[in-house]
Amino acid sequence: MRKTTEISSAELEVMQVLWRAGRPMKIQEVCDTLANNKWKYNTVGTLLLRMAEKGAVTSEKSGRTIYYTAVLDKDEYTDLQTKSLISKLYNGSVKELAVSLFKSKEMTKEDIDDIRKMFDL
Amino acid sequence: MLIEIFKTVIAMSAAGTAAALLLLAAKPITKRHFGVKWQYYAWLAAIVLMLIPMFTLIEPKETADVLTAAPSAGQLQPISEKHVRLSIDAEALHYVSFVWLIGVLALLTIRLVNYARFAALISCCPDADAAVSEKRIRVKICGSISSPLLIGVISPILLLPHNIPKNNMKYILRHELVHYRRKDVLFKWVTMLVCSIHWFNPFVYIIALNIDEACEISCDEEATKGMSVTEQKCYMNAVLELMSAEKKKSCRLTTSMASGKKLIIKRFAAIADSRCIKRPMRVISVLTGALIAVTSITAGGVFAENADIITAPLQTKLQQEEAMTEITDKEPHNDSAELMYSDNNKELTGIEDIPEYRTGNEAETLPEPELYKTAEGETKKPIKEASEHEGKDKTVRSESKTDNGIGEAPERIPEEYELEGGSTETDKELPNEKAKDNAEDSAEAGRNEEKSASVEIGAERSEVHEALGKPESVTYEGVKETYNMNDGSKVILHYEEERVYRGYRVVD
Repeated sequence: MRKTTEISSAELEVMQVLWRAGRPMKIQEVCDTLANNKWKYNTVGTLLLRMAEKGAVTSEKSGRTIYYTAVLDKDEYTDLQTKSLISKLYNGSVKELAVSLFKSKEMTKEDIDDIRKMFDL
Repeated sequence: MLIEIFKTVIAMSAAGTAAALLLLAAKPITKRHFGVKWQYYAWLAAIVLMLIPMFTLIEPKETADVLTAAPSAGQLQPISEKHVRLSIDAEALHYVSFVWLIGVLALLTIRLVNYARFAALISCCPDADAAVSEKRIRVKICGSISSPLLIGVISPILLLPHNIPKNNMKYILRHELVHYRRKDVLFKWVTMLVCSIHWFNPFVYIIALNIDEACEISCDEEATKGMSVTEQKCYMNAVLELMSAEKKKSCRLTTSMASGKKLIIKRFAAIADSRCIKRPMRVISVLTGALIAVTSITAGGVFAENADIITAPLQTKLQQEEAMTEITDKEPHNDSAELMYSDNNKELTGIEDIPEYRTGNEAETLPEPELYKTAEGETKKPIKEASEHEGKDKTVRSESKTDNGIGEAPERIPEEYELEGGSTETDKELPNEKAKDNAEDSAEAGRNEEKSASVEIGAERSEVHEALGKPESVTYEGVKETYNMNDGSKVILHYEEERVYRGYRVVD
């Protein structure tokens, strides 16, 4: 299971259905729950398949139907999104308005070792 | 109004650019002798220069130039040349200042919106247990950042990443507190503001970079002041450990020293450097700073003067046109040239040169009569003088000594008047007009019937000919054309670049 899961906005909608349900669901159930018959059965099926490959959901076969359960934690996902947004904003224009200890991501391990040698640290 | 602001911004930009160039040129010397703190404040001063129009303290010589130009014809040339060149640029300037304004607003909006979003997001971050000696600062822990940072001027927030070793905390806090006490965050906002206003000037980014660098180096220097060598090393280690904690790939795009590494080396070198700047050198450094500041302000002032001369004609024209809107509401006098009205109510200027109708802008219009007086004495100013300007005959529209250009107009108004009764020799066309004065122009009247008085400023010559028919007399490559109207009056139009610049009607 990937720690950081990138899911598209369509997949996010399906995830939200699963989160709200809190139980395994059939493709048809998901399809019906989605507002206004948004997508066809096949579309939803494909989305869930992709999400299972990514590890965001797991599938169980019960008889002839496949049931999908959400694996990706909702809080974890929201958290990740927020973190990603904070990072994006900061690296965008916000860092011009802040003072920091160092500028991120500019040094490799080798660089740090070099400096350690230079200053006898 | 916008153009005025834009001009000021350009002049401030010039001053800042001058400061940047001077500082860059002096950097090898100042780096060695003046210390890093001087660099920081010097570059900050350069940014501040771009925010305060200090060049206005310099006496603008522009008006003096125009006034003193009159007595000696030789001086008229440079002024008229600029006038000529610039009336073309005037319209472009309108567009340029508009584009500039859009740029400023766009940049400010984006930056402020992003900041607001960021502030909203981190307000959800948990508060830290760490206590800071400055009570105003709120400390929060945020997982999305790798380096501790200080943000906010009104409600400062110190953001810390996860898992900072306890013994490193005090060094980190020292560093950030120095930033806080020196109000470095405020200066960052000022820099951002200047970068937004002067977005078109590449030097503003160079200045910002130098400010940033000097800020960090001087902060480290200040934070480690008085520390023993061991402690200094602990400080440096604290920084490096935090940097190591940040997950990053080993491969890099550039093989040479990255700027991050260079900066850290500079910072650590400053920490390890125990040299102290002696008193006399401090004095010299302050004087040097003052010298650079004064030079830059002067540069800005000089630039402003030229910029003023550049756009002055446009303003004169605009102000005259605006002033005319008021005057033409009154009843036209009988014994002076009438104004022509167009459908759009845009008047042709010409009356402003008559003493009774002079507008409030004495500074700009005052010199003109004197110019004409000199022109009087030199009726047929040789064409070659005018064409010196740009090698084209069209340059005659310069408002100076030739009697075949725009400058001639005011002088002619009273003269036209005398046409009815007497005659004047000042202009070669006068005899023409006098002759035609009594000619029946019924033929032309028929042609011009519906088109009595609707010529706008800026109308093209072809449009005018359509509206008024062929001119009765033409001077000097059609820079001035006289049309007989069906009611017996004459319309005199002055052209500039093939478009009507001003005109007036003479009634019987």
